[in-house]
Amino acid sequence: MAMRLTRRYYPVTELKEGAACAYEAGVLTVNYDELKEVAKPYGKNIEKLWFEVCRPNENARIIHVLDTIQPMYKAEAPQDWGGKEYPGILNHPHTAGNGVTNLLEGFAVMECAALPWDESNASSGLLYPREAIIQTKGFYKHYTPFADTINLICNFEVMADKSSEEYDNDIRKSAMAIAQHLAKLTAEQEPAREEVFDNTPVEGLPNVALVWMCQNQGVYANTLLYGLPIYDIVPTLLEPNEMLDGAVVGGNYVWPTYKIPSYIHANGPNILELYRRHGVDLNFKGVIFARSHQPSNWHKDRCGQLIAKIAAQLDCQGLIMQWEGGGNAAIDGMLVVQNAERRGISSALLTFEFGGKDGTEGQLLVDDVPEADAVVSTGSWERVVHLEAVDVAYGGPVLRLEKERGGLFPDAREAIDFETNVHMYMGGNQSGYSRITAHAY
Amino acid sequence: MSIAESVGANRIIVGGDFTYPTGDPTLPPEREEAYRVRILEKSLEAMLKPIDKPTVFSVRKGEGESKEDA
Amino acid sequence: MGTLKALCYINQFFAGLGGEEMAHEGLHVYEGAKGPGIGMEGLWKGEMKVVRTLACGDNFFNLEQNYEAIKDQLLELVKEAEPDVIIAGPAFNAGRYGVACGKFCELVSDTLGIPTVTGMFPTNPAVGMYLRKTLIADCAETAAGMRTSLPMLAALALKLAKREPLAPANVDKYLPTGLRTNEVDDNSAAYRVVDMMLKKVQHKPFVTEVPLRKEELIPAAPPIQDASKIKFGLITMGGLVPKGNPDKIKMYAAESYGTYAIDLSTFNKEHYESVHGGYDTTAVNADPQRLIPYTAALNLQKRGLIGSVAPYFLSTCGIGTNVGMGKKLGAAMAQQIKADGIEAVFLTST
Repeated sequence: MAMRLTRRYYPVTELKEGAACAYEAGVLTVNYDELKEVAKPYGKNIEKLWFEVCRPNENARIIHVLDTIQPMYKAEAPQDWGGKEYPGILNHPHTAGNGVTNLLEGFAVMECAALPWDESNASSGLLYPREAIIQTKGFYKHYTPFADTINLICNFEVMADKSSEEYDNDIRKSAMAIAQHLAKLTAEQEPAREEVFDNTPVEGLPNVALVWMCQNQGVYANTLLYGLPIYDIVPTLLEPNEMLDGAVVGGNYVWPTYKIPSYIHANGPNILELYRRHGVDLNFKGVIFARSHQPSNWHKDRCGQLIAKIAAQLDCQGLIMQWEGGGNAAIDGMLVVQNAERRGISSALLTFEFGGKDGTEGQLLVDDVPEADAVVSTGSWERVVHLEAVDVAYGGPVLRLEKERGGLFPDAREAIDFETNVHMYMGGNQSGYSRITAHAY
Repeated sequence: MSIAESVGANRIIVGGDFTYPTGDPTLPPEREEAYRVRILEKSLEAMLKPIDKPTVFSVRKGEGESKEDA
Repeated sequence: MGTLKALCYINQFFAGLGGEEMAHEGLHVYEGAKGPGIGMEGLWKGEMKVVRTLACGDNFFNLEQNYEAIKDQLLELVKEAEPDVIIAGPAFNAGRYGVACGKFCELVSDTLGIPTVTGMFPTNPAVGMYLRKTLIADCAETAAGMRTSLPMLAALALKLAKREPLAPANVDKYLPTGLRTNEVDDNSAAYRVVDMMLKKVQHKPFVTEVPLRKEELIPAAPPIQDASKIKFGLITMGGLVPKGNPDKIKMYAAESYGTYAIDLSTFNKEHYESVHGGYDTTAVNADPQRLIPYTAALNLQKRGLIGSVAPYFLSTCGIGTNVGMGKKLGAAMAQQIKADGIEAVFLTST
C-alpha cells in the first residue's frame, strides 16, 4: 500500500535573536543559550558550539561545511509503528513517511567545523574532511542550494584526542537536536501551505523508479539509513515518503563537490520532480536505495544486478539513475543502467563531466556503457573555479587546502581560484538540484 | 565484464582486491607471500601468451572469465 | 550602423559554370551575390549584403599547387572587399567542396582575422579537418536541402558579422566544436532527467547531453619471447610513495608520477604509504608489497623464471585522471623505463 504524507510548510522569512526560541508568522526567533542547552546532551566531545547566520543576498562565503539539515518536526505519525523525523538518529528507527510533518521552509541548519587533519582522524588518503565552500553571490551561487536560504550555522570546535567516530556522531546529533527543536516551534500552528505526497498508482501510466546510490566508505564518508551506515546494505526499496521524512542522512565530508546533505536527501530534487509528474505522466514506484563505491568488481556486478532486478520486479518501464561520488560510483551507476536496459527498462542518468579546461581534453565521462544514451550533464568538474572576494566569511577565518602537500591556509574572504570544483559544496550537482550544465559550442 | 576490460586493458590478472592488488590481508604472512608469487606467475603466463583483445587471467579457482582458466 | 558586408566562396556548380566537367575551373570573381548568396540576402532583410563572391572549381582548389598559386590573390580580393564575415558553401556532403570551403575559411581567418562560417552535413569528411578552424552550420546532406540549410547559415553569418556571441550548438544549429562551457540552463537537472527518461519510455526523440564516447582500442603488446633473459619493472597506480609524499603527487587527478628506489630493509609500513584518494588504503598502508610485489618478483628471478627486477618502482594515483593526462603519464613512464632496459612490467591498478 502506498504511503500518504502531508507536509506542512512554515516559511522562515526573518531570523532574529530573542529571549526564547519562537516561531511566529515567518519570523524565527532564536536564543543561542537555549540551543546550546538543547545540543548539550549530545556534545560530550564538543569543546565549543557557537552560531552565525547567513542570509540571502549577502556577499558571503561559508566554509568548513559538513552536513546541512532541513528542520522537520513529525506532528502526526501512525500509532505503534510510525517513525519520527530523521528516524534512527535521535529516536527509534521506526518507519517514516506517513502522517503529518512540519517543515521550516527557506531555512537550513548547517554544521561547520574544522575537523582535525591528524592521522588518527584520517586512516587513509580518502577519509579526511576536505574544505567545503559555499559562495552565496555571483555565478557560483548556482553551485549550491543554500544561497537563497536563511542558514543557521552551527560552528563546532571539537575536543582534542577523541576519535573521528565520536566527532562525527556528536556533531550530527547536536545539529539534529537543534533543527528538531526549532521545527517543533511550529507545533499547533497553521501552516502557510501544505502538500500531500501519495504515490497510489494510476492505471495506464508507465512505472518509474529512482535509483539512489550513496557513498559509504568509512567515517566522514558515510550515509546513514534509519540511523546506521550502509556498509553492507543490499539494494533496498524505499517509499519516496520515507526519504522525505529523513530516513536517509548524509555524512560524507570527504568530497564536498559530490556531497548529498541530509537537507537534499529529504528534499530530493528527483523525488520531488517524479512526484510532480506522478499520476500525470508516470507512476512513481519507489526509490531503490543502495551503496555506491562497491568495493570490487564482484560486488559491483552483484549490486547492479540486484537493482535492475528490483526495478523489473516493480514492473518498471523507466528508471532514473543518481549516484554520489566520482569514478568509483560512476562505474556502479553505469552498471545499473546497463543491467536495467538489458531488461528493457528505459534509463536516464545524471552525471558531472570532465573534459579538461574547455571540454576538449580527454573523455567527458570517467566511465560509461553503450546503453547510457540518455545522459543529463550536471556541469564539468574540471573547469577553473574563480571565487570573487566576499564581505564576510562564516564557519572560520581561513580555508584549509592541499593537505597532501602540507596544507595551505589562505584568508577565507579573499578571491581565490581552484583548478576544479572539488571544494564547492554540492558543486557536482549529482542530485540534480541545480540548473548548472555544460553546453556544447 | 570487468572495469579493466571495459577500459581496454589487455592482460588483466584478477589477483587480490582492488584495495590490495597483490596480496590478501586475511592470509597469514607466509601464505600471503605465496599467493603474491602465484599472482606474478599468472602475470608472467599472461605476458607469454599472444592475445588480440582484453583478456582476464585469474588465480582464483572458478573465477575470472578467461578461457584459459575455465 | 550601415549595411554589413559578407563575402561568399562557392564552387563551379553553384556559380553556374557547370558540374563535374568544370571542376578544373580556376578562380572567378563576381561583384555582389551569386548562387546561395542571393537567397541569404533575402533572409537578411537589408541588414547585410554580399559584396563579392569568389568561385573555384573543386578539383582546381584541392590541388595544392593551384591553391598556393592563388592564395595571395584570394587574400587581396578579400581585403579589398572589407567584409564583416566570410561565408563558404554550403558544401552539404560533398567532400572536395567541403575541403575547399574549410581551407578558404582557415586561410582568411588565420591571416586576416575575419570571422568565417561554412555549412556541411555532419559526416562530410572535411568536418573533422576544419571543425576547430571555422564555424560549420549543421546543413542537409544534399543541395535538395538548400531551403532548410540556408536560413541556418544566413543567421550564423549575421551573428558573426555583428560580433554577437554564439548560443550553444544545438540552439544556433552548428556542429559542436568540442568546446563545452559550464552554464545555467533554463531548467534544473532533475527536470531534464525525468523529461528525458519519459521521452525514452515513450519512444519519442530525445537528445543526450553527453554524447557517447568513441572507443579507442589499444592493441595488445606482443608476447614476451624469453622471460628468463629480460628485465622486469614494477609500477603502481595505487599511490604508493615514501612517507611524506616527497614529490607531492596529487591524490586525485594526479599530473605526475614518482620513481622510488626499493631497499628491502625499509620497504615496509614505517616508510611507505599510499596517498591515493579513491579507495580504502588500510590494507596497502599495512604492507607496501600489496601494491609493489618486490619480494615475489625476486622469487621469480631466483627461480630463473625472469631475468631480473629493477630495484625501484614508479607510482602515481590513478583516480579522476582524464584520458589525455593518462596517456601523457603512461608515455613518460614507458620512455623512462625503456631507457633503463626494462622490457616488461608488473603493474598494479586499484
